Amino acid sequence: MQKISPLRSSIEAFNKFKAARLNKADKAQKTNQQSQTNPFGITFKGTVIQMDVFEKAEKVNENTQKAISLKEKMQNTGKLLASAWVGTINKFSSLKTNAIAFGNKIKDSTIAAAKKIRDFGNTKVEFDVFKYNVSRLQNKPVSELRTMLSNELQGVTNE
Amino acid sequence: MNNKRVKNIIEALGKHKDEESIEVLNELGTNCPIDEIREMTSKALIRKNTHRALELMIVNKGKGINDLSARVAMCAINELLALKDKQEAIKILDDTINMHSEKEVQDTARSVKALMSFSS
Repeated sequence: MQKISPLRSSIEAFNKFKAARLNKADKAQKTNQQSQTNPFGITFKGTVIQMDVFEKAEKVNENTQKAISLKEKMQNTGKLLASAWVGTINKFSSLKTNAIAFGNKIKDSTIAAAKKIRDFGNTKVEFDVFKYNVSRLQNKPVSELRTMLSNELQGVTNE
Repeated sequence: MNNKRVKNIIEALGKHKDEESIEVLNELGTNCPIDEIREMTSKALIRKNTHRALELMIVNKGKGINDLSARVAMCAINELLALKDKQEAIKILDDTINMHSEKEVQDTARSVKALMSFSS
């Protein structure tokens, strides 16, 4: 029985690997050739899609195409104008509403302010905080304090 | 009752430098039938910590510590206990214990003095 040296076995393994690589490279080249029309390799259910899929099956007549595009353009322009008109109407109506609301607000606040002023005029405001402040009272003569206290106590006892 | 005004006037009289303010408080405040006002007056007079003011609150029957209302009397005693300088108050209390004609007033003064000696 022939004994296989480790060197020979490694050379054989290398040759096998080389052959497999070449085979693989060939396959890849073939696939590339096939998918030349589809450089990004877009697939549909496992099949690589070719260029003709992206193109229209029927060639459209240029004149017809122009006519259609013109018609479409006209329609689109009409739609655009209509939407612009509707937008303008909406804008005006909202402006009108806002203006009315603003006017009403001003009216209400003016009425409230006038009422407050009237009430303020009718009320007798007593600034007790200033008049009966301890430090202020302290500086007053005792006779005045006596009068004030007796008046207050008179009011308190009568209550 | 406008308590705030009365309170402020009494407080102002209590802080007033004029000695006449003591007489005003004695005349109008301590003779008032309302307990609350007598209470405020007692506080104001004791806080003055002068001989005349303390004398009014300690010696007079029915005023200050001898008030018929327990609330007013207790308030006056509390105010005496809260004084920083108790010297004048103790002197007047001693005089009251030794020389006052009324036994009731003497007893009250004795009790207050005992409390003051405990608190100081």
